[in-house]
Amino acid sequence: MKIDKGLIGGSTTLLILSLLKERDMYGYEIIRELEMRSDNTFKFKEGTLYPVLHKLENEGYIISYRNKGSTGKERKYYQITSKGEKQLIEERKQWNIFSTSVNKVIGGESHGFSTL
Amino acid sequence: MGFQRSKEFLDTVLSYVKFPFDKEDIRMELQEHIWDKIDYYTQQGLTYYEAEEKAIKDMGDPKEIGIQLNKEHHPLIGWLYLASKVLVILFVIINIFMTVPVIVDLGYSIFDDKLIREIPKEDIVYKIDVNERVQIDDRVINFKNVVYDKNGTLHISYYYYDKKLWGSGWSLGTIGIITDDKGSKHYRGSSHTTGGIVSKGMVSVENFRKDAKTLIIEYDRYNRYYKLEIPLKSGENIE
Repeated sequence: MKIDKGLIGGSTTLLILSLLKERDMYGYEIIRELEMRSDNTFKFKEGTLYPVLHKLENEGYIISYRNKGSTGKERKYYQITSKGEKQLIEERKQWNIFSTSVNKVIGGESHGFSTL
Repeated sequence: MGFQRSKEFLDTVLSYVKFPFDKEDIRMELQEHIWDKIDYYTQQGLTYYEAEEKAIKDMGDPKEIGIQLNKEHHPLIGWLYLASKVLVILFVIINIFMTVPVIVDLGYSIFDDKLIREIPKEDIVYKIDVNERVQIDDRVINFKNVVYDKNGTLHISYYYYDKKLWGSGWSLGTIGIITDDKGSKHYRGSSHTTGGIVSKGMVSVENFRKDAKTLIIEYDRYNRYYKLEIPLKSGENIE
């Protein structure tokens, strides 16, 4: 199943901040990582990632810098800030509350997956 | 040929971004993403043309991306950001000029004051290196030398400058009231100054007491005050 939707809105902040918590990444890497980890469930319109990244940067959750990665090509990397880490904790909490509530409503599957 | 589709896509996206200074960064970032995706597809065996087509398709609607990006690169915020950068640069420049006094003092302490050098050597009874600095607002006055000549005239040389580049520009009317430890006041004296970023000046006080041990320069105007006491060579040192 593929959920083909724009990256704007929803739980994208949570997903992006979670990935950047592990390491700095550039846009293309973030897309690949999201696809891979969700077994291709998250198949995005890739270009829509950038307005989200730039929004997170404007909000001070992430910062960007240009650097040569392992491939030797220069890319624009994003790094989570301490403000972003605090936001990530908050978003996780909200997500847990949300998914628990949804699961309760739809019949108590403890590992249920929300497509919202 | 190559990248033509990419260029069209990027041009469309950027046509919605109003703030000019962010455009190149955005173009570069999206371009790199498309290149990476083209690489991915060509490695899977697609031709370059097919790979580019697919890569562009994966990006999504350029109009929607452009509109969303424009929201995050709002002209007002952009200009404010730019203005803040300009302010930072100005601040740095100001700070550089704050260090001007140090440089000026270094330079001037090496060379004798030209005005003082105009006094014939044979006329000089004694000369004292003063190098005392006072400051009124942003105006720095450095008293350099005091020369006493055989005619009984005391020459006080100094230079002054503004710490800020756009200094108040007021000319130094007076360096203050000149007295000595014997209580003689010298309101008058000839003085002349030369302009420039650093102005040089010399006040010559005629009939200064030979036996004065201390020269006192006191400035008290417009709520600004300083007082300098400069020890003089007197008595046996003279002649």
